[in-house]
Amino acid sequence: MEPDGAGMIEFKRVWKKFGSQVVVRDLSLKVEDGEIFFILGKTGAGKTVLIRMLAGLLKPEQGEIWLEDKRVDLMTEDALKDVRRKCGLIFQSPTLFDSLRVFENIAFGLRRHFDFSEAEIEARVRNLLELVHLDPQIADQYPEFLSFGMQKRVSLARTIALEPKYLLYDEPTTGLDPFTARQINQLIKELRDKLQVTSIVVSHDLESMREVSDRVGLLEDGRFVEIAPTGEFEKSSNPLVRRFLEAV
Amino acid sequence: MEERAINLWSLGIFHLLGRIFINLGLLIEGIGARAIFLWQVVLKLAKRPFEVRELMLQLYLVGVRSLGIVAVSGFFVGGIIVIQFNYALGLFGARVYLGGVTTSGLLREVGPVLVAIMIAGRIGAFIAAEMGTMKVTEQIDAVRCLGLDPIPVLLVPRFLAVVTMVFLLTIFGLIIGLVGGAGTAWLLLGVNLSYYLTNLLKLTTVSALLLGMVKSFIFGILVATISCYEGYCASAGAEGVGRAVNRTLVYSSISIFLVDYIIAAIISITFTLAKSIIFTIG
Amino acid sequence: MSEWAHKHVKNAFLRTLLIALLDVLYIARLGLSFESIGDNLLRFFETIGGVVWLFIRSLLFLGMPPYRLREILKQTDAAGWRSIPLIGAVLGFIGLIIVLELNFQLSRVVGNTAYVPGLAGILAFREFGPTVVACMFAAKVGASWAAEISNMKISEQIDALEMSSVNPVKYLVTPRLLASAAMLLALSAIGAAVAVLLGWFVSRQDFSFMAYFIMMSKFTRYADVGTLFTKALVFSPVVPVCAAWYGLRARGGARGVGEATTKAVVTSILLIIVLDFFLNSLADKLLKIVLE
Repeated sequence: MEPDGAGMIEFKRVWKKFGSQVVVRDLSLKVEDGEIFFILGKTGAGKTVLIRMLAGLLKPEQGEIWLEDKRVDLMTEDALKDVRRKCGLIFQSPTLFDSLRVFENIAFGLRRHFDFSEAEIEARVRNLLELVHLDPQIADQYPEFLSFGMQKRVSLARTIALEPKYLLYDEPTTGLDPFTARQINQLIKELRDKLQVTSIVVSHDLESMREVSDRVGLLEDGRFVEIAPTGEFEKSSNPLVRRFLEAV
Repeated sequence: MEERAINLWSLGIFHLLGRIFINLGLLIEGIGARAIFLWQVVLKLAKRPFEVRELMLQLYLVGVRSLGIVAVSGFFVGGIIVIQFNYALGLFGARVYLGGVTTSGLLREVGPVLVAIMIAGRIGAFIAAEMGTMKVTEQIDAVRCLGLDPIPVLLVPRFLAVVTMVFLLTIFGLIIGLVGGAGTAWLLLGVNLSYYLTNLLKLTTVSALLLGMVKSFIFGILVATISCYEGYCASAGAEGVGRAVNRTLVYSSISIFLVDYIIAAIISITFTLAKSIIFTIG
Repeated sequence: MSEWAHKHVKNAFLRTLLIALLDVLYIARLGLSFESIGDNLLRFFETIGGVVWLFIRSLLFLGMPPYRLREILKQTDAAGWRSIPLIGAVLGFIGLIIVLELNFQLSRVVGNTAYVPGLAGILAFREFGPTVVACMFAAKVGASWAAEISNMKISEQIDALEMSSVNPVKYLVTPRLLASAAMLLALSAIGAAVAVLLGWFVSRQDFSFMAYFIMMSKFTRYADVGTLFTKALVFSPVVPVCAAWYGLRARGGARGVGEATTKAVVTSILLIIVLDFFLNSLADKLLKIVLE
């Protein structure tokens, strides 16, 4: 089946169940090239499930998930490797490899996907650390000694090392103090500008939404109850949207 | 599986039979799952790019961590065997065979089993814990999301390292065991060293050594498979990791002895068959 | 270093191999300084001293009330009951294996297998019963105890205990000490019995049930059964004390639990082997003195 329109990422009537519980209900979504799409919703509303299905970590019961011109939901683990290089997922918890130093963490994908010399790898890692505004000295540390915010940024660096065209952020600011959260928000925008990526941000942080997103979708009970550009979203008369916005 | 087995005592006979069948089914399922896992790992053993650095690092870590315990346990167990057989053989005056029997026993049985169990305890549990923690903290998913297959990247180096080291350290352990045995015989029991060594060479055949080597290779594969499987497939939370470690220890022990018995039985049956064939021919 | 490698070694595989070897040598060199060797030796003696002291302390608490009978019984269930499948399986296989082995050895050496039951009995009662059972006990029960205690340590429950003036050694170690002694005695007996029974099972063509045990009783003495129980008793404190020693010292979250568990099991097994060696040589020396 062909995707319709120029949507780079598309969910078509997707259903996902865990046991008897329906988590994603007949959901459709198109994400445009170069935008930052914000998925808003309560904890447990199914937001994380969506991007995990996009990365191929979960498979939907029904429906289609398209990345560019390929169907992600039908792919084998082997075929998904290319998808994941193009589409980087940044987990909610940093999931850094704690037996490796920061340098090796970031270089992990670089070493195995490309045949760079040591010098090139060093240069690239330094570059990446600068991109995420981290002191290059950090490269020699082990992840357990870094603050949560720093760990998040290292995991971001690790993902963008592979030069993906799409970035999926799972709750990037959750658990951060407002100052660090703002830094992360800033970074999300910067990366979109510098690297020309399409981003999906999954979160319940309204502040983050206001700073970062181009379009917002409110996920309630497994489906989108409203999708609109941020300005319009804030002014929406939809009672569910109002209830969510006013809960803060 | 253990929980269900325990309640056997307190139920009626039909329940008992039912439980036995269930456990048997679970056993077959368990063995099957691990066999499939082993197959998947073997398929990806030589995948490019090959993790040379990881493999070297793992070889070093596994070797260094196990060297001490193999040396200590090998030395003392060698001595223990000599002490026990010295007593036992003395009971029917076959002391002259001390060197031969203990060495043969060490090469064929005790050496491979002891080293395999030691490494299962030290390295097997460690790998299960390491991989289990990685699974539970989503690090394995992170590897997949970097477009890499966790099996050749993480598991294959550890698998190969364990198999190699069990094999090499068995050789090492056998030598130390022989030294320990001879030393104990000479210094502790006052056995004349040449008396001890006399029948050692006569009774120790190349086939004994070969058997020991083959066994240690197979045991290495067992320990590697079980520890990697339990870690990689650990269930969630710290309890999941704990259970993975526990299962690694228990299943490794049982499978090593089970396979050892199967090999011994095969050999014994082959021998009996060979003897009867020779008997009927000759 | 790696620049040199990149320039002179063209084959990618060899190049990576060389770099990897250099990496490993570097790490090995770091690990082998005098400092690290001295450090390790120090830690070794520290462990031995600490373990012995912990053992003594837990013994002292045996005589002090309150006697937590329920705690002891709970540990006994975990220790004994749940280990029976593992012990049964392993010792069963050992029984089968030693008889097959002995058949092989003795038929080469003395030409017949008449002495096999006797030897099997001796080995089962003097070695496999106590020692292997204790090692399996350490692997199963020791591991779970170490995991339990180290979990308590990292979740600060030990501190909570001390806050309510309960001595952790008395509360955690002493009941396990008793449970371990009681259960290991029982399990060793069961293990020896299983090994012997299955030994008969595999030599059925050579011996009838009666003949097998008569031959065994010719060589196995009451002293051997005594050895079984003595060794089991001596081995029994090893597992709870090692589990507690490493458990109470655990640090660093889930990884700390894993480390403590592994170290506890390995140390227990090594201690059991070393104790076994010295017990055996002692017994031998004593026997010589008695006979002379």
